[in-house]
Amino acid sequence: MGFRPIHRSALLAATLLSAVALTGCAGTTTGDSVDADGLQLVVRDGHLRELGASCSGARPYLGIHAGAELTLHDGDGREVLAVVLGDGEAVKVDDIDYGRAPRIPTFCRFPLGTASLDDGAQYTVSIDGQVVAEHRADADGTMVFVPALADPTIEGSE
Amino acid sequence: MTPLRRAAAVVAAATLALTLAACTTEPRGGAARLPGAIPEGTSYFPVADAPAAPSLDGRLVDGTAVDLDALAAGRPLLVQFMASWCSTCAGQQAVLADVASEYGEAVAIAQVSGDTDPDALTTYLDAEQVGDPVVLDPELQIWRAYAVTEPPMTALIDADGRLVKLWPGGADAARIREQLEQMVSRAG
Repeated sequence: MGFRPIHRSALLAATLLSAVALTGCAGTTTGDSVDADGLQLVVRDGHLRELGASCSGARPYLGIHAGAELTLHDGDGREVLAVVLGDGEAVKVDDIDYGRAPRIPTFCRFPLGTASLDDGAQYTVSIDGQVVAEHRADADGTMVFVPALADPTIEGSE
Repeated sequence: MTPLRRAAAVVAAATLALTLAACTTEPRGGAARLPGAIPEGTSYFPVADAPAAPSLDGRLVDGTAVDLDALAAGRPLLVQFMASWCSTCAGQQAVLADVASEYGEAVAIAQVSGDTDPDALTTYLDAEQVGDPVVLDPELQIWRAYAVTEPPMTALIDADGRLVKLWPGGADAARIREQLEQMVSRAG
């Protein structure tokens, strides 16, 4: 599951879309499928789905699905979280009005439960043992993104 | 052995044989699930402006080599792209069962699995009581040819091998029936 370098403008757009998703999706969660206070994995695949539908990662993220194991390792290689994924839920990527379109661009969001992550620390995100992203925790961050959001403070992240 | 014991032994052996016969079935997803004869009085209407369907060359779970012709056998073919880990795919089994129940041998149904774990697939096929032939596609070659980016996806191919419809996320029975009614004419 490799990732290609992303153009700066694309990164900016993805960041903005993700920020919209974080705010716009708060009201779209249904039932108890997502613990809003817990850590969540957001697969930014932009796939066309019905909002709220069960989902897995779309290509090229097909490996992220119910039954796969997500792990977070800290900088010392210690495993700080291991979760077997359940179903994801399709959430908005933006606040565009798509009219009556039954399927709209979505991300697939998985609840991960609670985890104690150190503010500012970087974690390696793996799915079934394969590294898929790096995650930098911050005070407000409850979202782990795949692919990861660019961090301008990290050299080579552009 | 007394006549009574002999009779009891015969009854027990017969019971065991019957039980084993009842429990023995062909492996799910294999060649035994390929279509049979088209029912008498059935005719098909091709969809003229549809493009040719991509190849469905592959092997069933029992190793049988198949292609589009073998899977369709001269009738419309409903293709379900699935994976054992896909819970929505499991929900689609009831839809396929509905179509199979209504149309019988007048319509063929096949599934294309993206699984890489044969055991997981076998468990899924048994749990969901899948009655269709299942093509293995662990390298996702067929998936890509049909532009499957996330399972489930349902494809409908007419009796002439033309790709009529793709339903990303799967289709409900009513939508499939609506299409089939334009493609299939059955006696009675």
